[in-house]
Amino acid sequence: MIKLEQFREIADDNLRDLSADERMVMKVRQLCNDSPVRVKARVPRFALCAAAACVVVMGISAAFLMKENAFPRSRVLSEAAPMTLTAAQPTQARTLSSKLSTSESVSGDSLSYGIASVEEFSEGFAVALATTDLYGYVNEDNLWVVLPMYESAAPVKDGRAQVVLQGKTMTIEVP
Amino acid sequence: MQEGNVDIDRLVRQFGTMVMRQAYFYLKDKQKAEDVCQEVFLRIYKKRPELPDEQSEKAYLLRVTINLCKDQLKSAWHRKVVPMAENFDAPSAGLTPEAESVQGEEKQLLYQAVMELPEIYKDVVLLFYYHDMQTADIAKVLKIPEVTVRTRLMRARGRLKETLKGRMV
Repeated sequence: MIKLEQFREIADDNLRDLSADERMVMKVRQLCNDSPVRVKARVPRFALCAAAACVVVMGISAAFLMKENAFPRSRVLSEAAPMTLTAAQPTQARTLSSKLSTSESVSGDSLSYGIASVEEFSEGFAVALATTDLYGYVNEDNLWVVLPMYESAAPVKDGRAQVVLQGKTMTIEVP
Repeated sequence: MQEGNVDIDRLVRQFGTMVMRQAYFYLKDKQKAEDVCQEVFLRIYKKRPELPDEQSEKAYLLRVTINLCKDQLKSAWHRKVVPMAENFDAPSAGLTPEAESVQGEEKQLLYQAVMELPEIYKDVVLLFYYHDMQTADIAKVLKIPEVTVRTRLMRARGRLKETLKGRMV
């Protein structure tokens, strides 16, 4: 049995090659030399007040002009010919009736991208294509169990799946 | 190199490794962790904050590091590399012989589980278990109430126990 208190020892062991050496000291020193600290100029208070007053006057003027319709109206374009939508060809992949613009993970996080399509389920999970054009895995509730970050992904088999990340093929556990 | 009340060389030597590893926990990329590390110390050099003692310095550095890492993670062009059990690309040359044992496997599972925690839980777990900070200090670093820190720690432990399925005490 393992304890969470062992995390530090494990992390230090894993990251033993990651440390700040004299090379880092020199790099930081060089950066600091190239970026001199600038002393902020003290602006007289009356100058700040005058600037604020100018901004207020400009804002009022702009609001006045807009209200008086100083800008011309947009030209109405002619109607485009109505489009005929063809029925999507049935495929093995299940395409969602409407692409969702957001999605959620099993951990409850709301994500800013949606699910574009979901393939066949295998062992309760399916390869899903996100609206970011990357692949991940979802469960039957359409919640991400593996976030979409792969260029391609294969169905789950025996709790594992092959994926391609940054051109490298690897095997991951799902979930 | 000293500018005002900030001795950058000393800070880098004393806290550079801490900052770099903290950045690595979020970014999972050695090069990006080094870049963030340099940026952290550059910001201290420019801002020259009042840091009366070592605890304050540590807390300030961790706060800046966490904020910079989260900014990077929010960037549209950032791609997270999720380390998986058999494909984890750690900076070290390879796993030690010990890691090949069952206990070694459990250790790596714990490490991976912490690395994959949602950010709000990873923040508190790293600060508490890796940096040995008290909940009151963690609250100051993350600018959240201490009660929230304790709640998140409790939930994080629950998640990790669930993830490790009986392998964790």
